[in-house]
Amino acid sequence: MHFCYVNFIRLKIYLNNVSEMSLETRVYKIMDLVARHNYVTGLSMLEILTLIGLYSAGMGIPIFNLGLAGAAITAHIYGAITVAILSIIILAAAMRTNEIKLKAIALFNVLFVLVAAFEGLFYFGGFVDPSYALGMAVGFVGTLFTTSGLLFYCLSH
Amino acid sequence: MIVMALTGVGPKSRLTTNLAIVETLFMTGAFIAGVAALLYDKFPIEASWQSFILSAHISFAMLTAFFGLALYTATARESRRGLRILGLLNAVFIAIAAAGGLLFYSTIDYSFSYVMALAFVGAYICSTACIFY
Repeated sequence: MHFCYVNFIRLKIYLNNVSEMSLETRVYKIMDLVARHNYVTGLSMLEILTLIGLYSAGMGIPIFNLGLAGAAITAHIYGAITVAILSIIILAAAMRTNEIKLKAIALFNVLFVLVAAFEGLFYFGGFVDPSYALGMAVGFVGTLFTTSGLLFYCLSH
Repeated sequence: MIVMALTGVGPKSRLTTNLAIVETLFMTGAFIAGVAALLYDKFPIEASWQSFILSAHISFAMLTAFFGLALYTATARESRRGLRILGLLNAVFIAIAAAGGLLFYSTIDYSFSYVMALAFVGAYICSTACIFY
């Protein structure tokens, strides 16, 4: 009970500090955070948000039988293009840092995106076989793993 | 502002890292088996290979749940606030996914399987974060 109370007080102090900051200070703090590690932090945040959108659009297609035409597949493809571009930008940004771990994860990120993209193109381009959709899912898991690895590595180093 | 609470450098126990690695592996297996079940299985199940895919998914999901609880107990003892938040969020997302899966299995309503799929992303991000954070 006492433990809960102490944590509650800590949370209140923290929230007070946050709300007492001026808007300018808050914006500068967020800009500093996003720019850490040569902008890999902010770019991987963008990529993870795009991945969530892409996944919720793409997963809706087989679950609700939406078919390969309409809003869901359009959102999925635009999200996929955005993720592909972002992953290459992240690789370029990570290669200019001095951290070998960051460089390695960014390289694997691009490779997994390539796997998912090629499987998706095979599936969409005429070979309508579920095994290609499964390959797309494997590429997605790898991409999610590496992207969230990049983001949380940047946040704590 | 939760991102600001997650920025922090400090120690992390080896136990947390190892549990997170094992849990992420199990979750990857559960996801691949689950997508295979979505693409290949038709309910009610008639062939044994279809039931093999579904059994693999359920086994991996249960292992994920056990290791998620273990990861939660490991992160609850950490000194960094970010790790405690991530461990708790991981357990919550796994609980949502499990509830979605059980509701889908009892009602065969595909909306619940969508809930399961969305909660997977949250749980996967949190457990990966416990490895690299």
